[in-house]
Amino acid sequence: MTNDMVIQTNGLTKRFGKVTAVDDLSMEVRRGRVYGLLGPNGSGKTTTMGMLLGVLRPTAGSFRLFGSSERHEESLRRVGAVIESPAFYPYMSGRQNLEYFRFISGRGSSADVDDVLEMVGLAGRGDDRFRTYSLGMKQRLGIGYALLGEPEIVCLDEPTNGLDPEGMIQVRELIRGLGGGNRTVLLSSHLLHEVEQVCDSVTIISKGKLVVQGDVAELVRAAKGEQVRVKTTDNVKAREILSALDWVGEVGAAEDGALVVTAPTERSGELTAAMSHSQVYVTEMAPVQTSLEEYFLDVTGSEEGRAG
Amino acid sequence: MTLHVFRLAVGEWHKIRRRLIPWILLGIIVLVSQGILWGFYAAYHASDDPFGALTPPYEYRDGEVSIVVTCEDMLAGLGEEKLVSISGRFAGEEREAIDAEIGEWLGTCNDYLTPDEARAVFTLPYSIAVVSDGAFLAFFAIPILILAASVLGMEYGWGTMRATLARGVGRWQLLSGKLIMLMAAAMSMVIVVAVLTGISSLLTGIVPPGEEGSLVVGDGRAWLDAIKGLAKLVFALVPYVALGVFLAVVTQSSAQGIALSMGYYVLELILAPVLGGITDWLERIVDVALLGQNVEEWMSTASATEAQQTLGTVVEQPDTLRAFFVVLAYTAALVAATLWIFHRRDVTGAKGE
Repeated sequence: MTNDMVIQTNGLTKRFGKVTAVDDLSMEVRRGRVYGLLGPNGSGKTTTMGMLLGVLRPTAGSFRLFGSSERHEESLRRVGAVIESPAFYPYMSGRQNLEYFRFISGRGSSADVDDVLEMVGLAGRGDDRFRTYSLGMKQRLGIGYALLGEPEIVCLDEPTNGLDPEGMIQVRELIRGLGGGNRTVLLSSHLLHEVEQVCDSVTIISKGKLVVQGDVAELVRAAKGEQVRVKTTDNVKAREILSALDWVGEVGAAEDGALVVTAPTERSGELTAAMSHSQVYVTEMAPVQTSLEEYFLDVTGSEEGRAG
Repeated sequence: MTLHVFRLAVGEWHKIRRRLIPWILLGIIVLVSQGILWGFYAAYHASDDPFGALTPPYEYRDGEVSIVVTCEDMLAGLGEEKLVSISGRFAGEEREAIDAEIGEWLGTCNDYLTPDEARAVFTLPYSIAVVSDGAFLAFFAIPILILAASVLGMEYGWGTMRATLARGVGRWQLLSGKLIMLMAAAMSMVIVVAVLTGISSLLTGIVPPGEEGSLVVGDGRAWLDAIKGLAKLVFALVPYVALGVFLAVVTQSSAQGIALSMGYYVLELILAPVLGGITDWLERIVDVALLGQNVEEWMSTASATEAQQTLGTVVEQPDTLRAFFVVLAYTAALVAATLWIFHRRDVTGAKGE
């Protein structure tokens, strides 16, 4: 394992009685990227994070933070995390809560608390008691808590829950900006478009099992191949022409009658040339944007993903 | 590592002082202790011989014969003399009956306090020893049980236990920090009660104005005994801190932790005399094995009142050394069990208590 690997799990398993929440999960997270932990509700995302953060004991398997399975608590001091909903002391203000967590972990300074409150847009409400916060404000404070003390890994569990659309955009931009350099972000979400927008890489889990992991763009491309959507003056003839080309894959039909051609987008010119050579002319042509949502549904074989 | 645990204990302290519950519990303890002190003060001023009233003057009437004997008479050795004045007139069974009654008077006078002793009860430094006496232990132990179970249990309820552990503070370190803070809180409560008792004691010396009597009675030894009493009280509260924490960790709940702690405390109070009354063998087991019995033994003193000294009453010496080790063993066992469970268990999210 290289120094690049900040999280590595090996056969991680967690059972609650007869229910297996996480099943033999082996995943890797590299430094400096934004990782998405994607899965439908109840797929084991939060349980996985709970084990990594030491609040849940694995039933089997092991994991390493920063390459070490020893002295987990010391490793955790380099991690900032929010699991499930943000939990703070309701009788203390947002500032007092952050100050308390800063103090007990010995990370950061009082000035950092102010900076973090500013960063998450709570500077004006920092002295109000946590119990008076709206759900969105609680989420923001949770993100602030996770960022406190310049952690090298930031684990965020459904961080946009409860936020209004504007807040969601702000938080996603914030998360996007967190990754890079020495810092890694592990974002758990069931919101496919959120992961697609924010994450460089994704680990998809379903029913506690790893389905696939890799770069978001590569996964989508590898699964579907590149596709081009084509409308022509004679689609029947065009299908025959294109199917005869050995470098073209499947030629299907879209609902609106257009052809969906599996072929590298950079060879689109050759497609049009082949068809025009037989007096079939292209009236419309565009690369097909395959979404992560479609990919997710393909690999999990589930409709649950649409819940997000 | 020690510094880290100390840091956690300080963090806990900053947190708890912002909660309402410790202040409410402290208020209750202060009210009760002040009630005890001012109650003795009121009783003292309500009667010339307030504590003699516990052994009311006995009167024997038979026709023209009348006699009144007080505990002071008995302690001054005048009881026999007064008795002769009437018992000489009787013989046989009547004489025996009167003699037997006189004998009972002696037993009753064991509890008699002289006026000076009665005043000392609410005067420094004895007043401090009185409010920290084992007889009033429940007024400290029950609030401490509630506080201990609440401090741990609410962390589960709010879900903050997860947030804290996710900062990498360490499980046994976190629990140690909480235990240290709770013991410091128990000690602080005892100190606050002692200080307020001292202030009230001084007030009893100047209200009403012009009353004779020193503001402070007793010598250096009495002060030492008072301080020793406070220290013993603090030690007696330690197993209750451990018990409250243990039950909160087992149940992962503040409400259940408090309920079980209180239940255990009350159950011991009920069971001890019931079991002890069955056989001598069971009584010995109860004396040695039950926490409450040993805390009571640890807190009890062997000092005799002036009346007991005069009457030559044998005051039973408590086995404080045995009680000390039993209380220590309970504390160690509860803390060890708590650490063991806390270290192995999953910490769930907020329960919303």
